[in-house]
Amino acid sequence: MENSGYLFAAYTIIWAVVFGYVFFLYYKQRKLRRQMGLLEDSIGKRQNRNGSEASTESNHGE
Amino acid sequence: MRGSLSKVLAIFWKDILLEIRTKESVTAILVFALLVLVIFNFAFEPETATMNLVAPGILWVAFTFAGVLGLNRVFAIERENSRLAGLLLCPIDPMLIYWGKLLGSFTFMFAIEIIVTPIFLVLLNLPLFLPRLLLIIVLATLGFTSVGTLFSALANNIRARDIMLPILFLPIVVPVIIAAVEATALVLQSSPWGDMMTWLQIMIAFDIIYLVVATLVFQYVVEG
Amino acid sequence: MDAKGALKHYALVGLGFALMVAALYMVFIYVPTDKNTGAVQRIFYFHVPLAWIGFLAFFVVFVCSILYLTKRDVRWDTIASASAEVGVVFTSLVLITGSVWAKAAWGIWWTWDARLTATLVLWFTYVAYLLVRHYVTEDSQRARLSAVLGIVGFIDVPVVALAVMLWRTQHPGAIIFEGGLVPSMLFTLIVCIVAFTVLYFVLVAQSTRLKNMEADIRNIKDIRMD
Repeated sequence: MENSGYLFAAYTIIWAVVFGYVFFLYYKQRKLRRQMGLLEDSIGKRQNRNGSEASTESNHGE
Repeated sequence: MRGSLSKVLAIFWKDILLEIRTKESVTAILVFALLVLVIFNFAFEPETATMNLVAPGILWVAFTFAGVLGLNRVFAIERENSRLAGLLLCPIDPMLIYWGKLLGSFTFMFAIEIIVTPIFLVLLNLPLFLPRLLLIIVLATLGFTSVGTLFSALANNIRARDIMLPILFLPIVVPVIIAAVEATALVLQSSPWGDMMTWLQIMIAFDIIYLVVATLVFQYVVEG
Repeated sequence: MDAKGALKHYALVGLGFALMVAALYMVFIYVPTDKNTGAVQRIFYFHVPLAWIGFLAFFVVFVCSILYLTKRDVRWDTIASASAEVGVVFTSLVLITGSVWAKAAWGIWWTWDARLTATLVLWFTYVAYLLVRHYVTEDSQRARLSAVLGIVGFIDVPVVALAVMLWRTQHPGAIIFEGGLVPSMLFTLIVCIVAFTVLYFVLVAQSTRLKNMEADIRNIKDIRMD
């Protein structure tokens, strides 16, 4: 069992790298979710504004 | 078929003329290759025993680096004034452009090697007449330029192209470098022909594979 | 992601997790210690699957590259890119664990053995592939150029393997498979290979999904710019 230090090192590195990659994916996903949210918000706002403008215009028309 | 050949030769001749008139790359790359040879003499103990061991390596490192520099130029000269777009507008198959360019880069690299090799042999006090070395140089250079011409066109399209070409090129040509170094070592030891056959076969296989594959995929690199 | 897709995704993740736990149990508790090389031989059970799946990942890149160039469907390019990423991660681990094993077994971190050298060359090729993807900004151009690289790079594998094999070899591969491997060891290895195959698919699927999402967001932004 004199060389189990190497064994420990090898498995630690494997898990560190795999989790590192998973974390990288997770981080990217969170960033993309946030961007998606911002885009949805801005699209929603624009539609609301367009909608309200249209309704005020029609009010003036009457 | 004859039409294709004349188109290939036209592209080849255009590059040769350009080089003859401007003398832009060949001279500079030649000096660079010689400098690499000289620098390596400082990196190793210049004793005969050590030098005989490392000589093939030195020669091929010099050729590889010089080759990368030269290959960078193959499509770089087409970048100014969007000449490549003009070339692609010509009614010719992209394959023929690849072969024309390949012929050009092979000729340039071979010309440099033909001048550098005797100087290298003189510097190391080795025999000068080595026809087998010539064969190795032809096969290895064909391998280098078949991949290199394709990658030169590829790197031409991307940012950081000067550094990306060697990064793409060097891992792919590892088999050629290994085979060329080993075969050259055998030649310098004047071993019999049979010993170096395996290395020659590897280079021939590499050359054929990459000439075929590069011819097939070149159109995708220059398209659009 | 629709409900069915989500279910599939979680099933795959769950399966991968269960298999990984099983693999770890087998590697550290179930399988007997190797008589010749001792505890460090247990690295082998993860090292070999990583190498095989890394190689599989590059093969997937190769196939997807050909499919992209013939079909011109962006999906193939996205899968190729995800697979190359996972392949580079796995190949890096192969090199690192191999190096640790070599230090324990042979007393040296690195040797220019055939398989080590071939793996290193492969690693460089696909790191270059990822760099090219990074450096090309225009989508269709990136897909085209990287597909060419995916093909040219993979074709090189047999030639590199042959060249370095003739150059030198001292890898323990042959010894392990010539009767040195008792059935329990072989069984453990198979479980590990299955576990890593599932891990590969989970990672590639997830990475592909994120790349698609990224592309969608970019497209929406482009439309809004116009």
